[in-house]
Amino acid sequence: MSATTTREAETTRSRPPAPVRPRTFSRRQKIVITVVNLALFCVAWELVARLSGVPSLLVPTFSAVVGEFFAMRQEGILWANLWISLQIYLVGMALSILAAIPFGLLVGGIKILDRIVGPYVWALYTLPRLILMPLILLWVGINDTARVLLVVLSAGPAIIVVIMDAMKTIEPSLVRAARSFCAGRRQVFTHVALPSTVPYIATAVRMGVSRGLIGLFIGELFTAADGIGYVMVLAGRQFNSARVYFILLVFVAFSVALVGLTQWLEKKASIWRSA
Amino acid sequence: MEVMQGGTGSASPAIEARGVTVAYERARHKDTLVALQDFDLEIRSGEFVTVVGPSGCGKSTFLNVVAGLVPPARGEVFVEGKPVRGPGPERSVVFQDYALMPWRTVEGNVRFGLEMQRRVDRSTRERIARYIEMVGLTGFERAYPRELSGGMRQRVGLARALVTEPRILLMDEPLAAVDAMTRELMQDELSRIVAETGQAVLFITHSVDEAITLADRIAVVTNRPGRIKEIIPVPFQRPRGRDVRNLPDYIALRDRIWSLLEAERHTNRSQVEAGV
Repeated sequence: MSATTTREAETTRSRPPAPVRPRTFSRRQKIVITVVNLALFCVAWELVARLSGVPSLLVPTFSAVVGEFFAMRQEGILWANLWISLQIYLVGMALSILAAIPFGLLVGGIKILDRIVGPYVWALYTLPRLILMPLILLWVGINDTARVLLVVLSAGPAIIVVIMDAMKTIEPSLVRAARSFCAGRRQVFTHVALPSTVPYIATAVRMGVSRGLIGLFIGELFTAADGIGYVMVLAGRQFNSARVYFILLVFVAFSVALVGLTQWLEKKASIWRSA
Repeated sequence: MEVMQGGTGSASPAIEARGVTVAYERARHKDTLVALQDFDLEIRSGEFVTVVGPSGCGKSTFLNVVAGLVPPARGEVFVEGKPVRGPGPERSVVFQDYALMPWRTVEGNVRFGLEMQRRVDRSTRERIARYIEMVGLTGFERAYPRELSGGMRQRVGLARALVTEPRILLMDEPLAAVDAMTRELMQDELSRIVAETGQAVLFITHSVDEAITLADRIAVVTNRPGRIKEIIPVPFQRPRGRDVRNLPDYIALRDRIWSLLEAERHTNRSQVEAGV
């Protein structure tokens, strides 16, 4: 141990000093790392499933899981159900974003509203959505509306909470500067409050996107007769573990893609912030 | 020579403060803090007045009252003869912490005041360019504040204040956060610019040299609650360079202000902090 350190010290002394370089990976390095990482994971999965002797009901082989893609396509239940779930998710998210952003801006921006409405929003945010299931069934029955409602109730409060908080982080000195140039309340809102919350709006959407996905899955678990989550439940009842795993992977891939997209949006939205 | 925007034409002073008293409630201490008490000051149009005083003496509070950002508990401030009821387009403020909008470029920040005052028109672009040039930031129009040094940020703050062509400039320790060398350079430039544009200036500082270098008159403020202790005229032509600092008159003036401030340091604070 100590021998290697001294040898390293000697070599660094003989060479010209290396410039200090921040430890970051290039774009290409990142891609290579990701691909190798995923490949190793798949291979390890296959080997463990084959060689460990764990029953395939618990851990199916990776190849069997991938095989489900073709099996489901052949049965004609892959694209149709994915499409239904995607539609419900997108409608739910669109409603959540459209409703929650103005709501959060309003409640966060007006102190008295924040006092009155804030606690209810937080209550809804911390409440496990599963608890709302029986209520939603009572309200709207077992249908698509129930699923959309679950997505909204999952994503909406998360978005509102982040935006409400963002409205409280507005720099008072900027408000003062705007006022010194005769800005009225409206102008302070549009020219100071709104732009300074834009990066947080992106953060809020990112939070909402993953929570909405949870809502979608819960909805499909309990209230659906179609959709990809429903197919997963059926597969589970039929002990088709490979199919369950396959759909799980689809969910994971979808949510990773969404979070990646929203992170990118977030970065774009806060380009003026110091690093 | 200074008074070039003499269009106001009125005989009333640019700023006239009479018996201004400001008190803040301090929720944490459960008491009232008297920041300013019976503060009187008059600034003629085109005149440059610096206010020096110990830190916490309420000199910035006074500027905020003149800006219309803080209402006085008692007394009144008149700007060009009219009582102050809020901010107005004839006044512009330069802030110590720059207070630039981080999401706006240099150009966008300079434009800000004009937008707020709904004065954007065809001549705006050219006007913005002119003031950006005046503060020496040509070439940085597209830069964001985070990409600029402190001195450059304050240049943006100055251009933003000047572009609305106010008759009164309120500067709240504008160079306090700027490094020492840049500060000296910017004092010279500020002298030159204000001589050119002819505003009346209320300039808050805690630097005695800065006060003398820039001002027609210097108002020395007492410890909290702030009150005018003495008003001292500066006998040198404006704009003036740093070379006045070698003159015997300058040194005498400097000593005098220092001894006034020093006397304030030794006043009993507890006596001063008594409630209303």
